[in-house]
Amino acid sequence: MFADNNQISSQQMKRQVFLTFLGIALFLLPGWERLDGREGFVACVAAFFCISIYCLYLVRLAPVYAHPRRYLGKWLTWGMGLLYLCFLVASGGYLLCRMTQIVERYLIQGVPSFVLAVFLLVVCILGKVEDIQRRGRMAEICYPVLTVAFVLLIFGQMWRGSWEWVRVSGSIDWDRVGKGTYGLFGAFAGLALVPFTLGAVRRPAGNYRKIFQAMGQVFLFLFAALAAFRAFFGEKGQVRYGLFTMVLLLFLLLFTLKSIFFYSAHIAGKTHVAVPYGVIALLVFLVSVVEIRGVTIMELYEKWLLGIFVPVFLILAVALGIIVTLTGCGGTEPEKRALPLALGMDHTEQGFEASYAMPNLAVTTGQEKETDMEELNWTETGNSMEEIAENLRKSHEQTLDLSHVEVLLLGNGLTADREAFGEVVTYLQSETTLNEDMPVLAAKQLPEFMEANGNTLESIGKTIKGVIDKQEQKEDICTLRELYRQWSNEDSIPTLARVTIQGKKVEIFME
Amino acid sequence: MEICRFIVPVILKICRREAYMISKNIDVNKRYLEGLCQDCADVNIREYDLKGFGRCVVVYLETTVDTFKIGDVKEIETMEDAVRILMAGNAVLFCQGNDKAYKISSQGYPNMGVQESQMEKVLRGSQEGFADSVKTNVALVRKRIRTPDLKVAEHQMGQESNTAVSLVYMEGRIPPGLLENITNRIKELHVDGVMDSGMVEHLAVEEWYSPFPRFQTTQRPDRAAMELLKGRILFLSDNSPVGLLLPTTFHNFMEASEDAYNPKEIVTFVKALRYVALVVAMLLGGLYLAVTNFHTQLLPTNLLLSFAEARQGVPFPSLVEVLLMELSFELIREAGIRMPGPLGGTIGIVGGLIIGQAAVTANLVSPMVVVMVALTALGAFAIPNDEFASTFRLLKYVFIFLGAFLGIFGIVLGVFGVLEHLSGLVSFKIPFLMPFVSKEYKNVCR
Repeated sequence: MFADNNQISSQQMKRQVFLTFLGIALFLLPGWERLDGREGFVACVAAFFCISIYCLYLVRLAPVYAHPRRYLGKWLTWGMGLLYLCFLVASGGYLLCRMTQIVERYLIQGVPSFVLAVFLLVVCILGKVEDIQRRGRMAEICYPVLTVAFVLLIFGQMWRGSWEWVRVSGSIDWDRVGKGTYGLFGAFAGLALVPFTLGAVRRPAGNYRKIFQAMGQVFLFLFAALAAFRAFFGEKGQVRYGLFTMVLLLFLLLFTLKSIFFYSAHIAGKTHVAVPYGVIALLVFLVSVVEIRGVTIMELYEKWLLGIFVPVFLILAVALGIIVTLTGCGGTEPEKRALPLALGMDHTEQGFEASYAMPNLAVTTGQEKETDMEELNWTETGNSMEEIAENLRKSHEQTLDLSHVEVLLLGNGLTADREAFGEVVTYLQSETTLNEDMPVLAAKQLPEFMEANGNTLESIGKTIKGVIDKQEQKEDICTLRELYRQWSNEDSIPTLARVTIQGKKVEIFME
Repeated sequence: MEICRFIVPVILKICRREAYMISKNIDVNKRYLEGLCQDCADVNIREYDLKGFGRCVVVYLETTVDTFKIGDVKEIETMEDAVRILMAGNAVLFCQGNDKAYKISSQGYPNMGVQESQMEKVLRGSQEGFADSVKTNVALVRKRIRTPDLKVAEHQMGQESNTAVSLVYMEGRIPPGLLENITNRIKELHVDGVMDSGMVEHLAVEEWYSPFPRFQTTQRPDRAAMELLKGRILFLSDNSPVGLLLPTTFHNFMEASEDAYNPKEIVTFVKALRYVALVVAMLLGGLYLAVTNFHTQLLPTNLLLSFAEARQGVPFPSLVEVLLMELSFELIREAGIRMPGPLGGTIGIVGGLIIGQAAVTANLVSPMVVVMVALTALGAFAIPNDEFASTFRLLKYVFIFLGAFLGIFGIVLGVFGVLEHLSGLVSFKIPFLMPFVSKEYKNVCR
């Protein structure tokens, strides 16, 4: 709810997706020859099925899109960013050109088209384009009004037309169905951009369901629009819209165009492609107005979309899936992993501090092998958790594996600073291997705990866990899952049990 | 009586409410009161050593008790504090041989006292308005919320003026982090003097370019008390009869004080009407120009012919006609505000009826435009908050130009731009478009 955590709700995410693609479904698709006739309807059903699977796959790849450099390295990430930006510039130019045409045809004559394009662009690039919360609120406000308005419009049109086209006769041309399906898939190719923003959704567990619902609604409207169009104009009619319809469609398309700039700013940031969105806006404008040897973006876009972008996006998605499978945590041998059993987090004036306490394996396992005592405790500081994670990757040979952390210790500096606490929670949520049932304790003496680890105590994580298991009120100790829940739902820091250490003695106090 | 003494504790225990008996130990009583009235800056707990009585503790609300007679005595250790306390209107006592001085509260500076609210008139409800003294204003609020959960945090602002300001809130009802946020914002402001809460309003606003107000003002203690119960914070400044309610959202500006006193069906209808009025105030002028100049197909034929007939002989283009009437209305409005008492109403009659009628008769403007301008003005007046209504009076001109030059396309661009702008506004980290943008707000503020 608070406008300071750069997160949106899943409902806002769903409404954003719905509004972004609704304009395409209602304006750009009716009248497209690939969707003519019964084959068009069958193609819609098939396309919806394909898009559902594609979205499911993309949602699973969300961690890659959230941190592409981690998986692809610097140059591949940069290349991926450039590819998406090219797609956005081409799509933005095409959309701007189509919007200018409809404004000239239906709304206002006598104003040069490039002036109209400038007005449209200016409205879309004003303000903080990359602010996802702003976009979420805009979607939240516009959704009910536009949805009701379009439902009324479509029903109003449907009852006025002829229904002779409904009579089924002859066989279906499956070749046309295939082309229609692929064409629709291309029309919604922008779904490939959605995973970049899924990391900002407050409760990510329902992401796929929300995207599925959004696209389901879009396709329902598309069916209804096609049916209304067919009923009113017949199979080979030209699309004509009333003024009121045009006003609503223009509003929707403005949202879609603004989405182009939003995603370009977002993707440029994530992939470190240093192109300001002002430059993107200029490129979009140029693409929309420039004509080379009589050829404009209107003639080229469909070929680029279906011939280049869609196949490349599909190949990229498959490749990312393979990369994640082959280079993820499953490929590291146990001896090459650092397995902390206790994790400590704190926030000081110098920034964040993360401590990882590894067990003394020689003592814990009873095997007589040498242990590098310095490698038992990792402590890293940084201005953000991302910086700490990056520093850890660069400075240690072993791969950090948090899947066996048994206890989380939070320092006083962290529990007293809400903003820092929120950032740490976001980081912990992104580490999906963390055990959410592990206890979370407040610890004033984090450095003393880390010092004791491997020295006076063979493993601070095991020791504290053992002490907790002997507590009568162990069910009252806050777990990581309960911490997430209270922070997400009530925006408050839970009361944590306190742990202290004196020599070898570890004590827990319930607050 | 004996039965009551037996039954009452039993009843209390049955209801699981244990009465806290007064202790013979004064320290115990003092600790209990200090804990209960923690963060209530207007509650004073004073300990004295009176001859013949020993140690005594006096507890009182400083704004409701004549402090001069009580003798609110406070030790002062530095000369700077002594001067500051003196300048605040108190007496300071120095004693030979004592390295501490003593503050003796007095009645303070003269001020206007409690009067009727001038800015917010209602048909039903209390007619009391805030006074110039922050202590009096806090007391007016506490009169309506008589619970120790009503907290008062005192601060000082203005390096030269040392103006006393208070943040009043209900513990447990405000969103977490809000009080710290506002307190930090106040402490960040470095000015020589704060003469009115309006100065704080303009200094503390983040997006200075936005025409939308982010602070809601009120002169009514009953309104302030109601908003405190909803989880907002009231900012009061000394020498200012206007309090600021924080955080403020779009919907807060569309609520009037008397909404809480009327049946819900009527209030729902009136609130819906206010939103319609808001749209009329902002868009009617631009839509009129867009439709008559670009999209006549929207009008019924007879109406279009009436417009054409009405415009016959008018020497100005329709844009100039509309601007002329709108600016004339603004002049009449401003003149009416500045004129004292009955003259203000007369200006309205003279300007509205006579000048408007004369302009139509002289064929300077068409009657349609007069009707349109009147409807726009009524729409603006229907918005309960004057500052908020002024924003839409300003935006109206933007839409007039957009409608005149770009037709419906311009109106759509303008509406999209305004919605985008509103989506980005926040008031102390609360989105301005609450509660339309999130259901969670209800869970945070009771």
